[in-house]
Amino acid sequence: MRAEVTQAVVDGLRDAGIDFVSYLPESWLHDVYDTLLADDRFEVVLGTNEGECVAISAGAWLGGRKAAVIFENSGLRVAAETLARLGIGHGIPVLMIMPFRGDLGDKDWWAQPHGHTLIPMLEALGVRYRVVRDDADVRSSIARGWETLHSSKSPVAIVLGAEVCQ
Amino acid sequence: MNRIDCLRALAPHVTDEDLVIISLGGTGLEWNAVRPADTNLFLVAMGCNTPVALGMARALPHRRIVLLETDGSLLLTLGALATLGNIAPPNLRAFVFDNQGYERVKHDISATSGRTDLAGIARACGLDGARTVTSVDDFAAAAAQTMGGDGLSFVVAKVRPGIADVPPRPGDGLEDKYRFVRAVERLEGRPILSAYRAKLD
Repeated sequence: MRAEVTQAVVDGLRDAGIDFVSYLPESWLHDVYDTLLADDRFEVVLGTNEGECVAISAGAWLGGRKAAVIFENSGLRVAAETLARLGIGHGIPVLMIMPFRGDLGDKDWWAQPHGHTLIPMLEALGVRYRVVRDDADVRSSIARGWETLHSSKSPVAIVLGAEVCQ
Repeated sequence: MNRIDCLRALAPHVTDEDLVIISLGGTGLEWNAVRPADTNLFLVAMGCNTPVALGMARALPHRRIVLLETDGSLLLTLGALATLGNIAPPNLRAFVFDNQGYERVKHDISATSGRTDLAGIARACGLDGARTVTSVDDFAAAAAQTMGGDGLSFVVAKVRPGIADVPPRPGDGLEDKYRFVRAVERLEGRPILSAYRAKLD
């Protein structure tokens, strides 16, 4: 990921007041993870699957912490049960940031399932989302996503398109 | 031993300053009968309870978080034990009520009715003091010791299947969330549900 986009993600989190992030690593956002882990303004928790990460950050939100989750969009499928139970069943929201693996132009065959399933999964799970296509929109989209999370109590996803991740 | 006798033994150690995360099924019904409080969060969310409690423990490190987990829910998210062992929040007290089945759906076996040892898995994940108790007296002693002490604890209680004759719990997940978060706001003396304004351009 280009350095300016990595910085825009971190600045967007800061603008939203987020200081707690649970995550599972993936390749397109690798630099974001390294930056967050090196920044002591953030508490960063490594989970073992994306559903667990969503639940960890949901628990932090219930305790008054401003929390986000970062993982590959394939993880949305893993997290579906948690998002349905906590998001729809209990109205406990979480902000997710993920790359759009399998987006148009993605050269990896194994990423194609992620591209096929992402948008239908977000919509089925009642997740408010924005696919960010321009570097200039990355920072503001994260802060706006948090505001929508808070006013709607719905899960929100900021999906970083291939144009901004590569 | 019966689960509700364990819950009755635990209840005197839980204060109005504690937050309690409760797994679904009979554990929630019985805990609500034993110690109803706005500071109870009843999560009807298999596999979510342990990681939610972990996140809450990190959000509120000055406050004790009590987790009432079940075997079926924990088996769905065993990886959470790995995370719990690594983070090891000192303000979390975990109790797993292991009835070795999925009683709410009338299925009387889970993996722990076989060779699976949840306390053993927890120890292997770094929860060094994790233990299993099989009598009410031993549970009461473990509750007194862990609730009276410092540090993360993990106690598995092998309980008999069956739900005590307790009233149903009214409400739904949304109501439970709001009631609980309002209680957290009162305890913490600050808003949570309406506190945020992001910096927008």
